[in-house]
Amino acid sequence: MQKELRVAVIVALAQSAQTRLGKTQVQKLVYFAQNSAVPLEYGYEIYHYGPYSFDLARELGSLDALGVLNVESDPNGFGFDISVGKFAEKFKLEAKYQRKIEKVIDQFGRDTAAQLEVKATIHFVYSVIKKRIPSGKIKAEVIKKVGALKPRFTEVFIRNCYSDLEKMDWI
Amino acid sequence: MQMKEVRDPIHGFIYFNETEMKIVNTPTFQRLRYIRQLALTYLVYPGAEHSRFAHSMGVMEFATKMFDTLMMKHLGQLRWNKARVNRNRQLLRLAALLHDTGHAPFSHASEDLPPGIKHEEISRQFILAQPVSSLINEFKRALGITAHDVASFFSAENIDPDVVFLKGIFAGEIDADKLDYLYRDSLFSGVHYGRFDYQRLIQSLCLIEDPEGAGNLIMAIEHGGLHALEAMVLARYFMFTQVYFHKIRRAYDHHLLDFLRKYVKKYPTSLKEYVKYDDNRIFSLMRTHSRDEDAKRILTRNPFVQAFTTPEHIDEEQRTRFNWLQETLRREFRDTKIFYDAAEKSPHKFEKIETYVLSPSTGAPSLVQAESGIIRGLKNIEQYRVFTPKESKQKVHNFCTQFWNDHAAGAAGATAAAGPN
Repeated sequence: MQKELRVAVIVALAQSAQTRLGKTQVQKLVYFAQNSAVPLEYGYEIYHYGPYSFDLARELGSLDALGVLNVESDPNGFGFDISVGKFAEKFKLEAKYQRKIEKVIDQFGRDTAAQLEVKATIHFVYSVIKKRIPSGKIKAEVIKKVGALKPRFTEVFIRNCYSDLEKMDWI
Repeated sequence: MQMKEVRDPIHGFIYFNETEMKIVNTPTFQRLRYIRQLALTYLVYPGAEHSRFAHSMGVMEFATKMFDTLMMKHLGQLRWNKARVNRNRQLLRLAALLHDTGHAPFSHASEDLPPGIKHEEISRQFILAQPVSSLINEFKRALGITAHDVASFFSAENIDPDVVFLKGIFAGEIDADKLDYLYRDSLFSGVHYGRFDYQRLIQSLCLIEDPEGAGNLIMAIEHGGLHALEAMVLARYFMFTQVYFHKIRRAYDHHLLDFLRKYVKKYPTSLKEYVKYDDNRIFSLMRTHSRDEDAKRILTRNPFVQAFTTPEHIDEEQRTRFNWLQETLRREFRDTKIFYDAAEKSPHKFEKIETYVLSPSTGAPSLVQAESGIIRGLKNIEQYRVFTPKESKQKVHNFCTQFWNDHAAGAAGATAAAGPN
């Protein structure tokens, strides 16, 4: 049941994608879907591109092999393009989850990979430290930690991403 | 700080500082002497008696070599000062040394037993418990390392950027754990397929800016190390097909797990109790229950035997055909003892952990799969088998072979994969 739900969510995300969909984007969109109470139960941890699920990465490979997705290497040698495969239509999402996925796409579907990466990292760090830091200090601490995890992003960029998440009630 | 050295068949000598040696001397770590790295594989390959104890030391040594190589080449790029280098080197050594302390008896062979907690989580708990935590905290004054810092390697909630970086050395696709287990398992089992040029591989490690645009520094391979990397991937592939998925070893794993389900039922969640569980304790339990069929089959080296196997790589049609065969056997051989085994593994995880190799001409990174035809061409291992006692082997074999040939797609008799041996 859970496996079917996972596949249906990934297919729904691939069908609704509004920009080029790479593995990083899928990772982050699934991350936000899971945090919208879609019970996918992927274990996420911070990796090079922010929150990352090794199980999801493995499943993307399997879905490619089974023809549910097409995962094609970028001709320049790095990155992947993900689209729906010929057997994707077998997997339909229940309406209650479909609405949640549409909301995730609505909120994050036009973000660049960089925005998604930083937003997901902010949300992950926020979720970890909110338990141990007074609420008044959380924002500054999250921005500091994300800056340390993502040194190439400017503080302004991180702050903007933080504000977007605040406006959408993610944090 | 005084150094102690330990002889090791792969590394020659492994050096420990005083506190590391105190950690090695704790009951938590000494327990690993009594957990064989390859479970009951030594009943097939007599040399494979090595333990998690030596492996853990070896992982620490490999991790240190990888770290030192990266620091030698990229210290400027990382912009770490000496204190940060020293701290991270020690942090990595401790995490590598302690990574397997949570392993259950017989390593992975008994991991399925409840409560089903991953050994990494139990390792984390051991690191945070006495006596190990106090010893790690000895590094606090000089290096700022606490037990919580080491435990964060095994926590999904880690948000320390240095630990994220160090985890790549310790648990990536080209990682210290894999280098050690492949080489050590190969050496002790006497199966030479597992050897590869690890020195060349480590020497060719480098850091690159993440080509996906995140700007983080990630580990990659210089082009000169590509063949060493291919050799490591092939080593892993052959070690799985020849050793880890050996038919007799799989049969012993089955008997072992069945025995544990009956007489251990579940491992304790209290660390104080868990630490008492090692291979010796389970063997003692088997002797106590030596009339049990699974215990007897292990103790008298009389496991079920393979009556049928699919090829190592199967397609959708063969997978369906095997499921059909399984259903038919359940119906037709109700009075015969049979178990089924599924051996599945990907020979590498480059799909999961994107790994880059540098172009010899431009220095630009590209994915390992794009550069290596050998890696691209390797198929997943997926092999299904039927096991039964020796006495019923021939009749089960005959039935399976006939069924497999009669129901093959296309020409009859196209894929007869098994035979008594």
